[in-house]
Amino acid sequence: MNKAEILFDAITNVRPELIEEAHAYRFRRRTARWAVPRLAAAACIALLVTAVWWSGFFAMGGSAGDNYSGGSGWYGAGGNVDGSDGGSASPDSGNGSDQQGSPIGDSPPDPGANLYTVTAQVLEVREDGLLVEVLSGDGELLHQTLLLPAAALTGTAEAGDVVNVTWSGEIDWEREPPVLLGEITVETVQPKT
Amino acid sequence: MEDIQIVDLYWQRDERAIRETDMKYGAFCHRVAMNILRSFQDSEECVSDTYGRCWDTMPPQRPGSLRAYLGAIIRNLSISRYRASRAQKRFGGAEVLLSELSDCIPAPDNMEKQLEAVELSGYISDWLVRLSAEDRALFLRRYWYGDSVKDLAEEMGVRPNALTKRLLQMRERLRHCLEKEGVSI
Repeated sequence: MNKAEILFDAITNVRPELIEEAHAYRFRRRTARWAVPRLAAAACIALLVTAVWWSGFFAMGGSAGDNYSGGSGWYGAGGNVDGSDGGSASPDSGNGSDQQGSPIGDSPPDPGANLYTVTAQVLEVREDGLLVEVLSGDGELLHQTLLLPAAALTGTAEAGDVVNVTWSGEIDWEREPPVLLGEITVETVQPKT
Repeated sequence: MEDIQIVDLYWQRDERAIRETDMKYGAFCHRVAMNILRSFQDSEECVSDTYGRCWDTMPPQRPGSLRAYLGAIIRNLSISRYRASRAQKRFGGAEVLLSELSDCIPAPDNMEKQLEAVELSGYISDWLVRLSAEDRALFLRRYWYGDSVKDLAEEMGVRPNALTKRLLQMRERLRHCLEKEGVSI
């Protein structure tokens, strides 16, 4: 029996109450925060494409109303049913594109909406940044060691400090330890005792 | 039916005990065996053997948690089957689990205590108790129940890659803990 199998056997015999607890435990399902900006971007693109498509659609409706007497009935807003003044529908249909486009332009970006904060303990102050261990804020990152690159860092901290780390939520997982991306703010919440 | 009633049936030598066990824990037993053996036929045989082992051991045994009792039996039977057929490299599930568990083996420099599996279980249980509930559940779902990283990641809503790293860190923490205790395997 090799050592891994001994461990396997040992794990087999852990206390029964732990087995029951693990069975009953329901993981808190969460959306990875660094996925949110990507999803938001995808949603914006989809909205934009839809808006452009609709604006083109209504613009086409207006011109059809001009050219074909009464022929724009199927567009709905394209013209009058009796065809007496199909051209009069053009301004309405032209406005359609504005109405579709305006909500996008009227929504100012909220720079704070996608920021993400975790509480972490500074393990080491290095030349290239702060090495921290996440203490709370997100189960996926819990106990994760992360590097906060010095170049992107606002605020200072000492080894042993407990800090709040706020950043865009993006992480480069390919590096070891994983590195936070974007601008990072560090605020000491509990200095080293 | 409650566990205690099922155990009573075993003690009364009532064959309904096996039927009730299968109804309540059949899927669970299959899942644990499948996670190790990755073979439906072998898992089926292990589950049947598990019921037989229950019949043989109750009485005198009166387990408090039938799930843990059945799970321990089926894990033992499945790993035995794996060992018997290891040369054939048939069972990918156990290969992966054992390979990951190799990370938890303490370094030989710290050899002080050569432990039996039962004692080692005590250390691991103590270590598990000190973890957060989520970490504890995660570790056991992976290494006791044998659930795949992919399934666990999906359940938790995280990326498999991130979960793999988290599990690696947990194994390293277990290794550190065992080394700190001067445990050797």
